[in-house]
Amino acid sequence: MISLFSGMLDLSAVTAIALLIFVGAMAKSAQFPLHVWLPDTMDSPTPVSALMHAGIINAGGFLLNRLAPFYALSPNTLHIVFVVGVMTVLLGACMMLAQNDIKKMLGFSTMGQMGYMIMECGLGAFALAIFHLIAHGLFKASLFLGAGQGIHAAREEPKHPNSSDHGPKKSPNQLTFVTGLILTLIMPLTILMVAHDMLNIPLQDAHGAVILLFFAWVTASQVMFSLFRLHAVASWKVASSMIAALFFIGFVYLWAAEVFTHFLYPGPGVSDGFFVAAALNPRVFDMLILFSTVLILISWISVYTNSKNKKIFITNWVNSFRKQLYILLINRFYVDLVYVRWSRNILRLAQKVALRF
Amino acid sequence: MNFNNTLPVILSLIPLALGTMWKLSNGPSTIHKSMGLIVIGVLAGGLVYIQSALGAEPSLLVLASAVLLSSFCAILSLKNSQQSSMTYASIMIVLGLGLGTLLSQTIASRIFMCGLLGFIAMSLNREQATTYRTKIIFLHLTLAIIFSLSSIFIGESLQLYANLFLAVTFLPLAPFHLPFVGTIKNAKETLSSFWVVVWLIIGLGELNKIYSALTPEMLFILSLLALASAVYASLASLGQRLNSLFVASATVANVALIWGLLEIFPGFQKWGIPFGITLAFVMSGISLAFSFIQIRYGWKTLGILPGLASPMPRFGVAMVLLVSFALFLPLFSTFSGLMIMPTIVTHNIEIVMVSLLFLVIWLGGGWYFIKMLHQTAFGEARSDVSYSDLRLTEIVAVSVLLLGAAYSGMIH
Repeated sequence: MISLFSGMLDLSAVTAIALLIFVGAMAKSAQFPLHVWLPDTMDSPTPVSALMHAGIINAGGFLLNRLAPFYALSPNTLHIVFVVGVMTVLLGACMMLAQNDIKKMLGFSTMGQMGYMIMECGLGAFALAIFHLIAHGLFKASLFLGAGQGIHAAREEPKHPNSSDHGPKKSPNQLTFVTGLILTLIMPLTILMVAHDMLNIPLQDAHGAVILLFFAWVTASQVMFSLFRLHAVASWKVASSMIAALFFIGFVYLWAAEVFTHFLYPGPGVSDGFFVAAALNPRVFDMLILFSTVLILISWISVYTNSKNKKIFITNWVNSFRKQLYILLINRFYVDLVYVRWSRNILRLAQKVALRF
Repeated sequence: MNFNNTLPVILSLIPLALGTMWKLSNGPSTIHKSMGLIVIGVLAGGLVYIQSALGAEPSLLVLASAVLLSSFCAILSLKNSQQSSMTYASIMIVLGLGLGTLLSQTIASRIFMCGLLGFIAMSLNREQATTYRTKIIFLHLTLAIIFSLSSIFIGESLQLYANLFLAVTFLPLAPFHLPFVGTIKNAKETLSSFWVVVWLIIGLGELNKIYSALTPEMLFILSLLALASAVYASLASLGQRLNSLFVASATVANVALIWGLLEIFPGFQKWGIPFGITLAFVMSGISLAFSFIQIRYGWKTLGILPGLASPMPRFGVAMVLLVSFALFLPLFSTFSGLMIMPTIVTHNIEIVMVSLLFLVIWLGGGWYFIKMLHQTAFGEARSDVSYSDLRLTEIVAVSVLLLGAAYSGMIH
């Protein structure tokens, strides 16, 4: 315990140390609001970006994972880590959607993925975070190395590409929407049942399975919405195949996470100890699941009504809000500008101080 | 007369006499250089003799060796010219006075210190126009001379305060930094790099004498002052345009770490003296590198002559190494102190203050050192300047300082 002001304020030394180390990890892994350096590095050659986004940026998450037993001693810090991770995921993914440059898109995608990894650390899923780290490194490096080819291909296309929609647009049929809706309701139900021990998963990393299922569900929903936007899911066959693939991949990931956890923490109860330390208040967890379910349901209803050309929820203020949000996203929430202004003010002050030194 | 007490005085008088002679006569600088290096060799032998035969205090000899090494680098890297003759003389005088202050016994040490302070006052009087600031500096130097002499005769408690005043003067802590800054600003050629080392080494010697007598209340006040000094000096370094003032303010900022860590870490001799020497060598190295550019192109203002790493690769490498070292200075002190600190000791508010001090110095240093590097080594070189890279003697001088800093900071 660190006692300040003659014992009026007591601060846990473990929490203080863990938080300070986490600030370093935040900066290294481009967590909000210490992420501004990441898009600025896109000026470097693409292979350097590949090395950086696949390797160097993982250092922050790696640091947290190496100190996992220490972080397990401070549940408060783990909750803060979780919150920062969530913010980074949301903001990184949103900013990625608004970029018009392939490298910056990949950069913000990295920011989002690092947010996922930090979020997993905040939930005590350290083995999953390492697995995520490796998988992300591999695919992000491939994406960067292939970015140049994409740019070349785009330059060879005509300036005004021909419209690919020669025929009438196929709107998804009813079965597709029913499939998506059921998926939206079943997945959170499964997660809640596992979380409340109503459904027993016979795995060492059973706690991690909850987290993996949650991520898989949110990601799958996002993918489906994206494909709907591209009019690529016009038949229930495609939708069903995608859902089946999702389940298959989900189970493969569960198996991989189990193997990884067993490899990294072979001792009995070690990984469980991390989850117990990072456990969220059950009500908070349930609210999170319910909130996400409601959000995804609203999104399904919006997609359905849009496909029927009935824009029920799109009012003027929503449109205005969308425009403002887009401007905020494309300007990266003006965080860079805030830092530049701060540094300019500090430099002006420094020049005044220097004259008198 | 006791030979043990007389030998350091004699050794100190040799360069002092030589420097005075050179000041008054106007001989060729080539002879000055050769003789200067020979005298330094003789002094080094004298120090070895003092260590082996007389068994003097190891920390004092380490400090004296640092001064000697720095004088070697300053003399070696000087270019032979008419203007350099005065610089050679000044280096010798300062060397003699500095060694005398460090190695001599009580009364002789104080007399040498008074001589040093008087020399500083004379140099400042010649160079600077009389302003309110220079009046404060002269008042400060006068007080320092009075305290230096009177500390022998007054009682113990007053002696402590007198020695503390000298310690904060020579290990500059704002607002007692003005003489240091004035001296560095006005020193010519490589003398500025030598002054940095001499000033800090004498400060370390003074602090070493009084460290054990400092009370917890005094240490708390000093750590508060150190935090304020660190913030002030770091901001000043960030906004400095002149290279000499940049070195001076960066030195004051990093010296605050020594004062701040006094409260936390015991055994000042084990962590404080090696760190102080490391700091002195690194800052001296940066000052030396600046002086090379100043001698060649008359450059004094940061940002006017960027992109030096391209036409002067040796200089670029030297500057990058020096800045890299400077960036990690706070780590050296903290880790050496942590190795000595007993594990059962706990601190409360002191930990917060030291953490803030560490953050200010390290983050501030990261900002202004990198900014200086960008303004000096990186960027586009000018096409209207005919560049010439560092000579062998200059490279050796900087390398010696770097190696000395590495040895002191990491191995010693």
